[in-house]
Amino acid sequence: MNLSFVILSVSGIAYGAAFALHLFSFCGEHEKGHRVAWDLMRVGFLVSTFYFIAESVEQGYFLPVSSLSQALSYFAWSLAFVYLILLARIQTESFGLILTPVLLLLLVASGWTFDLPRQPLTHLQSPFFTVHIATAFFAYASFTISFAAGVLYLIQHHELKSKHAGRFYQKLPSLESLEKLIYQPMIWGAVLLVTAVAIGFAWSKAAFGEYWISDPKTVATAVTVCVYFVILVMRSAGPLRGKQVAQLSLAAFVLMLFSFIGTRFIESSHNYFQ
Amino acid sequence: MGFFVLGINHKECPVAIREKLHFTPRLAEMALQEAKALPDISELVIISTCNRVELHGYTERDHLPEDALFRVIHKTHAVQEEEFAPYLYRYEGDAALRHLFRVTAGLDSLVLGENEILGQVREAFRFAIETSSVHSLLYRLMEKALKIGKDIRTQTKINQGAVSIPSVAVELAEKIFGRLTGEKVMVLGTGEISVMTLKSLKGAGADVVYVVSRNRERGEQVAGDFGSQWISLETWEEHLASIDILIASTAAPHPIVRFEQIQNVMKRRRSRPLFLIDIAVPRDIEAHVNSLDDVYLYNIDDLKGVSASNLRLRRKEIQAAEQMIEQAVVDFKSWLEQLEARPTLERFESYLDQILEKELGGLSKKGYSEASIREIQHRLRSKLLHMPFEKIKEASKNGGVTRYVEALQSLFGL
Repeated sequence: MNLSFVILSVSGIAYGAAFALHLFSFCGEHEKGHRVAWDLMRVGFLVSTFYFIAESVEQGYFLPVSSLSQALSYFAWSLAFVYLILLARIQTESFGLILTPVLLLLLVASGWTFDLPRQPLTHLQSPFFTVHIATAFFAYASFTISFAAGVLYLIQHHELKSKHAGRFYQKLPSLESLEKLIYQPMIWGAVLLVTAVAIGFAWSKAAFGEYWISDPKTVATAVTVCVYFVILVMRSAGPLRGKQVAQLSLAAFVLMLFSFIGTRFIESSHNYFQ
Repeated sequence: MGFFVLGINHKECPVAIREKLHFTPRLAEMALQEAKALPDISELVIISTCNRVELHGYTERDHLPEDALFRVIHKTHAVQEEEFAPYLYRYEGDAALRHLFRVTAGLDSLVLGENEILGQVREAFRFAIETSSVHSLLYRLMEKALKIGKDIRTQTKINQGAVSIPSVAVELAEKIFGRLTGEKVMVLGTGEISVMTLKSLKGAGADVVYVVSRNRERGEQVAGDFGSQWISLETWEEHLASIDILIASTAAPHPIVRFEQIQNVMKRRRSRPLFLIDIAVPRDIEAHVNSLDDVYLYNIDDLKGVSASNLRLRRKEIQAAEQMIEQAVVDFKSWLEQLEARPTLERFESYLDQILEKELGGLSKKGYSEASIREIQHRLRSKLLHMPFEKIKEASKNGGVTRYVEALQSLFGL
């Protein structure tokens, strides 16, 4: 069996076990499970990190995303990185319940597509392109976390409004914590996506001689950036409140999904993997 | 005989009788001094709280020293026996241990799993130590009871989730604002529950800024207690936009906080949520205020609903707590039995030592060195004692030590 596949599987198993423990703790009364699950998630992240370092050395690219399988596992790694590292100060243990199944699904999909042929991505030798891809993935990961926090916010908001002190009320963090988890990654995501777009322009100019290549992905990304910036400005200026920010984070995420994945189904110069 | 409990509690005994039997520190000291002078009571601890009065003790007699305990009570309280006798419960032996462990675990409390009882038992124990009314056995039992009370709270969720109105208010505030760090609180009316809620919120980190009351004197007194400002019922509205939590508990016959008021306030509050606690009956805040975004309104029934929900979660933990208590009873009995077996075991050890010394002493004449003889003696001693000691330790877990002790005494003439 391919060693890379084994390493990726170990990471997936760690995420899977973390999800099972989170679920067990959520349904039961054992808080300790969340802490162990948290540690398992870190193990999964470290194993994934090792996988990318090994792949990077083997392929000779700084960013080894030359197949759909690697793109999926890199997205999972970005998600874990944003949450475990960038949002270390505001993270909550119970959030793992929603994050670990996403990580697991991404790694399962990555394993499923592992044997598909790799694309000769000569662009990856360009540092511009590498940074463009890396920042875009981190941006999408940040928006995904913002979206997940938005879902949890609306659930907790519903629990508090309906005065139903059920399991979600007991287990989910406060609205304040969840709002931070919506807002903070949204800022990260917006900044990273603007960076990705700017670098993309620079790379496009260097590679093709023009800044703007008009295709669905570019347009959708530009619209996504604008929408997120409008939400951020309205949130910091005051008119938007917690629940509205949560709802808009969900709507913006749909747009982001279209930009990230949906455009794959339309003829586009950004379609690298089939 | 052994351990015993004689007491009354909130389950059967009315507060009027409990009050009459309450032990203040001075009365408790007198009672413990009296008990020390009575041969029927070897050790005694008095636990007296608003929900229970219990005399926990140890006696060498073969029956519960009820007369002596009544004498202790009558020495300190002018209450007729007929008044409290119908409500008395008595536990002896295992039942007494189990009852004490249930008390410290909060399973016998009015509010299941409450923490206060643990401190009250600790205080009663400390008082008994100072009065020298506890010695080795009850001392060990009280230590065990306090430990199991603490273990049950850390290993189960018996004390989790708020159940009193003030603590539910704090829990909800923390679910909205996160950890409270200076959220501004205003209170309308200065009733008992609203003041208790203020105390809890302040204790959790909120900042009580305005006390609104029709009665200026009472309002200023409450405001002074919290380092806040009294404002009149005519001017409170203008401060509404600056606060985060509003507690309403006036005696007004109709709502005084209206939908339009809160709607206007929310426009000025930008992104900050508002938590409204309406503990007045009839209600002070119009119910449909809750339909506004970022406004969370809880009336007294809603708060009780959260409390009941939390209590249900606590009740799920009872079985786990009871199992821990049963194990603690077994462990304590095991310790007691081993303690009782100790004199016989010591005699058995000394009997063995004598025989080994006598029989192995002759080996020195056969050329064995002193060190070798000591080594052989030590190994034989360990091997001979290992099995009986293990058997007795095992038997102590299910009350079978006496059989082995008697057998040792009979077989070896100990």
